[in-house]
Amino acid sequence: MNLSDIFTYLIVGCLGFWLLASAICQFNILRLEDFFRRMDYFSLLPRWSFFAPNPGVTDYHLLYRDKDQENECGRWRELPIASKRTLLGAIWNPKKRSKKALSDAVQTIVRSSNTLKPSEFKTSICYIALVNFIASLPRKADGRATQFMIMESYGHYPDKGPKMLFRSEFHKL
Amino acid sequence: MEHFLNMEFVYTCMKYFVLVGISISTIELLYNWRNFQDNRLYSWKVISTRGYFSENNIFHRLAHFLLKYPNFIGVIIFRVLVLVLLVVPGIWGFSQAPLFLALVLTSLLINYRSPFGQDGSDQMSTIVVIVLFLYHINPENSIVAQAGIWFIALQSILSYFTAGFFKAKGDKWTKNPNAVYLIFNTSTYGSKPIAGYLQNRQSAITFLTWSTVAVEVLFPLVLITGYPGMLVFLGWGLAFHLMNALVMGLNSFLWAFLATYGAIIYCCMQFSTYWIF
Repeated sequence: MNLSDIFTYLIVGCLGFWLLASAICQFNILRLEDFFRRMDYFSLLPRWSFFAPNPGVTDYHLLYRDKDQENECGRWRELPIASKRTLLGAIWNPKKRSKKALSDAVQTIVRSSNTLKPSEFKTSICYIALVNFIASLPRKADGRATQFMIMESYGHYPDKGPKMLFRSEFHKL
Repeated sequence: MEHFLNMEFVYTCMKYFVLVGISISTIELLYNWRNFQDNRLYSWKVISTRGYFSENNIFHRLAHFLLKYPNFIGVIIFRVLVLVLLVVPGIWGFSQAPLFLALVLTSLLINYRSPFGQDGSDQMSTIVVIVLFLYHINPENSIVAQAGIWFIALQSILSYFTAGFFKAKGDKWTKNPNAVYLIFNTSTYGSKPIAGYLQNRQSAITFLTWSTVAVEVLFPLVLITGYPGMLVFLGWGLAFHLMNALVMGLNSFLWAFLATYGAIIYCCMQFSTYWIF
């Protein structure tokens, strides 16, 4: 067996293992999904369950407000998560990624606020990233602290009104 | 269709489709360069606190150097240059393996730096680019070439089947089949005119919802349908991704998944020669 054969078997073996690990991670075969995903630093194990089993059927809204030096709260302002759909967006859609990032972070916070202790989800990457982002937005100089809120609405033709899902504490600016 | 039995042709199709998608998404990343500043959502100062690796680890130090702002913008510009060398004929007269290696490495860096905001098209593109790299190390190695094609085809089929399998478990897809309307009704992934059109057309909603689940679940059959049966699945896939690009703004999925279709056709044609019926 020469070096070229070893290379061939190695590549074929790796591809076979990768495919097997991908399938295991989709269906959590033998409950091995967590084991593989913990080591997947580069997102090589895909998640193919798009919009399933429960598709996202609501829109999330991210709002924030500031408290000034006199402890007076300002009005809530919205950071848009959804962008307007255009025909050009089928080819060129640069806003998609930042909106998706915001949407992912917001959804993770909502999910983890229901399942984790406050001390745990408030130290998560999504929470810190969102607070860092909101705290860095341009604002009036007298802001002392900021707070954000996540709301949910039911689409273009809603059958019920929006509701609040999460409200953070005030964070020092 | 016989062209698709030629592995070189399959890899050429794969290459150009995936490169179109990667080019668009890389330029989109560059267009959004401010997102990577330390006061934005993709702040490396925040993301690097995940602590996957110890600070003394060589990978951590190298990743930190490449991924911090503004160095990461340099990585994306480098990726654009690599794409130009790959796409424009005649500029690069050597093996394409180093260029694909550069694409693989930059893809891994982008994935590592993005704990949120990535989607299935990024994952499929990374998978395809890795296989293209392996193929270009030695294009004469037919075993690796064939393994790569089968790997891509099976990953693609797995993706459709998984999506269908889990949809079939969801009430909004099967019991009360209105998932398509509910998704199109959102501002995030939908469109007001389409939602308005579908609003009172339950039979159209049911058809769209159930047909999505049915075709996705049955997608593995593409391997045994042969020609022209496979065109039902691939034609549906093309229409599905076009609609998702137009209505949902999922532009990069179209190119990432089209890149896998040549491999599916190859495997289908190879497999159907062994199929008795």
